[in-house]
Amino acid sequence: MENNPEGLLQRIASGSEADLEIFYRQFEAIVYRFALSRLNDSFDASDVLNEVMMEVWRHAGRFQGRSKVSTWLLGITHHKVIDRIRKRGSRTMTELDPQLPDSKVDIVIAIAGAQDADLVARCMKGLSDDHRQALHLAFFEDMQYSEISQILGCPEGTVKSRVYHAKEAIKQCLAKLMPMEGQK
Amino acid sequence: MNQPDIEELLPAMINDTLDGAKRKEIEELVAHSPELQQDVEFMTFLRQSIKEQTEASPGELGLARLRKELALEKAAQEKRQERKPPFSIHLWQVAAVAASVLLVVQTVVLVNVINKDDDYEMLSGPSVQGAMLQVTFEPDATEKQIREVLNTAGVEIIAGPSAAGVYRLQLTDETRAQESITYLISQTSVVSHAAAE
Repeated sequence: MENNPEGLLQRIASGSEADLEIFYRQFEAIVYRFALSRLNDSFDASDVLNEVMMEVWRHAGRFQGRSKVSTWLLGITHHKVIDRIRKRGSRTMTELDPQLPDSKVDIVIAIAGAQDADLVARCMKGLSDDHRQALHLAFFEDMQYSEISQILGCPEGTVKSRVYHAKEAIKQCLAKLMPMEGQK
Repeated sequence: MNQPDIEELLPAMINDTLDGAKRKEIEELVAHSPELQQDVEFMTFLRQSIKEQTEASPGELGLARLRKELALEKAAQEKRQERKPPFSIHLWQVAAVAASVLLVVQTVVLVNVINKDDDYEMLSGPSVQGAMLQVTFEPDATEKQIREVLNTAGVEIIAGPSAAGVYRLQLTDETRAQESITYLISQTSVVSHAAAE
C-alpha cells in the first residue's frame, strides 16, 4: 500500500483509522506551524490541529485532487484559524504597520539583524496576522504564490503584496532593534 | 519589468518557486543592481532565520488526543445507532398515517350522520316508498268489495279519503304498476276512477 497523501485520503474516506494516523504524522507539523503563525498561541494552534485532523477524518472524500493535498489541508486550517480568531473576539497584539512611509532603512544593519533568529522571531510576532501568515508560507513552507493564494482565499497579487510588505516591515523592525541590542 | 514587479518576484526566487524563464530574467536584473543584491541577501538570511523557528509541534501527544476524540465520536455514533428504531420512520410517514386515521374517523362520523337521517320524520308523516296511485270509489261500493279489489290489485290505502273522496294507494309490488291500474279501472262497479300519480 502506498503512503502518498492522495492514497491515504482515499483510505481515510473508507474509514481507515490507521491511515489517518499515518496522515497525521506526515502533516501535523505543517498544520501546527501554519496555525501558530497566525494565532501566536501554542494551545490554540494545538486545538486547531486536532480540529483539522477530525475534519480530514470526516470529509477526506471531499478532496478532489484539484490542488496538492498540503494546499487543501492548509486551506482547511486557514478557515479553522479564522473561526478561532472570531471566537476570541478582538485582537490584543500590537501590529507593525506595514504601510508606514518608506523611511530609509540601513540595509546593512537589517541584513545583520536577519541573521539573528531571535530578533526575526520578535519582529515576526509584531506583524499583522495576514502578513505573518503570508511570509510563513512563502519562507518557511517555500510555497508558490499561487498555492498561498488558494490557501488564504485571496488573489495572487494580494499575496505578493503581503509578502513584500511583511518583508519591508521586518526590515524596519530589525533596523530599529539592532542598535538597542548593541547597547545591552 | 518595472521595479515593483521585480521586488514582488524576489521572494519567489529566494524560495525557489519561480519558473525557469522568469527566474533567469530576474537573476540577470539582480546581477546588475547592487540594491537588489542587498535585498536578495537580506531575504536569504530572513528565510534561514524563519526556518530556524521550529517550535515543537504536538507530535505523539496530539496523536493521542486525536485517537481519544475518534473513540468518543465512534461511541457517540454507536449510541445514536442504538437509539434508532429497527426501521426508520420519517416525518412524512407519520403525517400520512395521521391523515389516513383522520380520513377514517371522518368517514365513520359522516356515515353515522347520514344513517341518523332515518330517525327524522316529516311533519306530514313518514315518507312513502314505491309507486303511488289515486282512486275514487263508486258511492254504493261496500267495504268488502273495496277490500277484495284492493287486495287483488296489490295496493294499500295510505291516505284519504280527501274532501273530493280521493284515496292514495301504494303498490306493494312496483313491477305490477300498470297491471294494477288496468285491473282497478276494469272494476267499474267498485272503482270509479284510477290513475298513477
